Amino acid sequence: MGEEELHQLIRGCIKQDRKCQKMLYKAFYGFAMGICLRYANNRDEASEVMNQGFFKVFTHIDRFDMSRPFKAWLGKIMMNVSIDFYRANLKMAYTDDLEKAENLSDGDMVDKNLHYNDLLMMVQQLPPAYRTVFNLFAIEGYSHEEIAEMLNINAGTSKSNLHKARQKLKKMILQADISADNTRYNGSTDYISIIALNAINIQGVFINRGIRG
Amino acid sequence: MSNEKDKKLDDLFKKKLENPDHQSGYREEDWDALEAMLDERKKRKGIVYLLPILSGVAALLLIFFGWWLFQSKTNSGQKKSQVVAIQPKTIKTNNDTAEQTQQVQAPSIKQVSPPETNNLAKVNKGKTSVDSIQKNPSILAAATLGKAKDSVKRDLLANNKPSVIKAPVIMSSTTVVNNGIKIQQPNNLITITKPDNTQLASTSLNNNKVKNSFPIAPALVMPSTTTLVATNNHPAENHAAEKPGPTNANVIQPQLSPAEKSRLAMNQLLASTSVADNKLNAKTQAAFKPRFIVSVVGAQDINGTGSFQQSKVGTKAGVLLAVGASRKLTLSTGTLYSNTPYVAGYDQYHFPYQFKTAPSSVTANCQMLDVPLNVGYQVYHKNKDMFMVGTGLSSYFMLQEAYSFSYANAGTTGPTNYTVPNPDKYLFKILNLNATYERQISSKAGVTVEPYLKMPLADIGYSQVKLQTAGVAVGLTWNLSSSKP
Repeated sequence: MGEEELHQLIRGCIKQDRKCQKMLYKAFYGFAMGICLRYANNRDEASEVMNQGFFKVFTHIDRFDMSRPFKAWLGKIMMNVSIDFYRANLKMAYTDDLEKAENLSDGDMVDKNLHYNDLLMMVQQLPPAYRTVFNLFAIEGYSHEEIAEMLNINAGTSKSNLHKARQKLKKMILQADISADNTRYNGSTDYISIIALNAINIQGVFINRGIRG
Repeated sequence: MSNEKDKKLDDLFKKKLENPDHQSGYREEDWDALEAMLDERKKRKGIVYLLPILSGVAALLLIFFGWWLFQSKTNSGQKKSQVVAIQPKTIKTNNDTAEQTQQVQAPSIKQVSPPETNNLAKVNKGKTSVDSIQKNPSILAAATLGKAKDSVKRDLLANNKPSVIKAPVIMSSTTVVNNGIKIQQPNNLITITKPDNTQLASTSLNNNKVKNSFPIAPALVMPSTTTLVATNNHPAENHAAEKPGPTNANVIQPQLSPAEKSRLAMNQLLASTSVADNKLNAKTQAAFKPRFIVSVVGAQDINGTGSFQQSKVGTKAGVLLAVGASRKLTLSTGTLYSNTPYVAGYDQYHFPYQFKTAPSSVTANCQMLDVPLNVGYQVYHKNKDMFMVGTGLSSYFMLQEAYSFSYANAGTTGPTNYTVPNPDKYLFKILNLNATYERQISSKAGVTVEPYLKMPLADIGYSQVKLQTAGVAVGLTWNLSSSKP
């Protein structure tokens, strides 16, 4: 999408034009969803969070500074609503004790043929507290101090959660490796199948829907 | 070593997850969910827009009905107190007048009755007159005690005048007996007085008759006394006539003078009672004295166009003068210096100037004089607390009117500022709605808190916007009137 086209859409959104809103939504759906998915337990939760993000975007779009990149602004909003969601659901969140530090093999994980969906699934399987810190540190690039402030936790907790998240992820990568070796891994798995695999979270979806309704 | 591994892990996730643009397919149902959220907001927005108006109307209705109920209760309460307040007074006046009439009549009976009873022992008709006199006070007293104010006045009149009238009647009867000649006349007299007395006796019970009987009674009695004096001038009875003359004079004079006194006293009393009545009325029916109250107010308000969605905070300060048109009604006017900033989308404005590219939003900064003309109705007043609702019209006299335009695109060329060279004035174009709470801090001074709403009746300003304002004014009032409120 060209810059001018984007600005035209934004102007339409300022006037609360529904068509423009939908076009903007569609254009940035993948990007926004990508961020929310990383923070969420599953796609439905991610959709919910993302919609909250877009709602904020559409209601506060008049505050957007046109001279700045829209994508970064949108990304920040998505991240913020994700964190808000995490914080709002802290009581529901659980942190399982990480098994004793396992001696993971030093296999070169980067070379593994791991796709976006596989990695996303792994991140989603992390407990929310670990996942949020991992997202903010590893992907968004925030420091532990910044994360501590954002999540209202200690920097030490942030470090500890990051460590535990990494441990879990390593374990999952190894497991994925094994499953891939057993040719049970389907490289072309689409997103729906991931949800299907995550049976526990599907139940959660229904509960959430009930709350939302 | 482990750090490196961690870094690699992080990088792996970052690389694959950072730009997920085309990884998740668009789902229409997600948009539907968002659309529902946006629609709901729109509805809420509508409610929010209507909220100040609705709440204002609701508050006014509530206040009105509250006042209605309150008013009907206090009305009955006031009536009761009025009756209670009057009763003791009338009773008092009754007692006073009763005493006075008794005092007045008592000597007349004392002075007249001994010769009368002695001489008129045979004359039954004379006796009846005495009886009737003796009866009269008691009857009158009995009548007056139980009677209302107006009837008391009549009774008092009835009491007094007969006492004046009776004296000559009685005297005439005595002289007649003394002379022993003019029996016919006294007979006539008595026949006249008798109905008079009976009339008195009956009229003491029936007041209307008293009034009617008066003009007749003195007219009939007075000539009789003159004829008496004339008949007394017979040569044989000169001394006798002379004797009773002075005695008559003596008797009559003291009789008349107490009667006169009593009449004067009565007049005074009536006057005083009427004054007292006036006072009572004044108290109960609200003594209207125009009150002048000056107040200094400061206000903070929010200004918006069409709605308070995008509102800016403005300030007002000024002096108001209120005139109490009646006990409950107050007219107020004054001047308020008002700093009114507001912001709205370009579509809210109607500029005469044609923009090449429409600005995304327009911020206005207006400085003006707000001259309100309001009428307030006091709905509650107890002790030091007073509550008033008001409405009226405001006129805006623009002092400065400046607009700044912001554009959606940074590179857009267009005017950024515009200051209206000759700001206009808008007479009675704004509807005021307000509710005032006043707390008196001394007999003269009070503090007020006044939430208000200003609704546009026409487009205001160079840009022709529907500028509405809602805010709270805080003021200090000072009662200029000398009388205590």
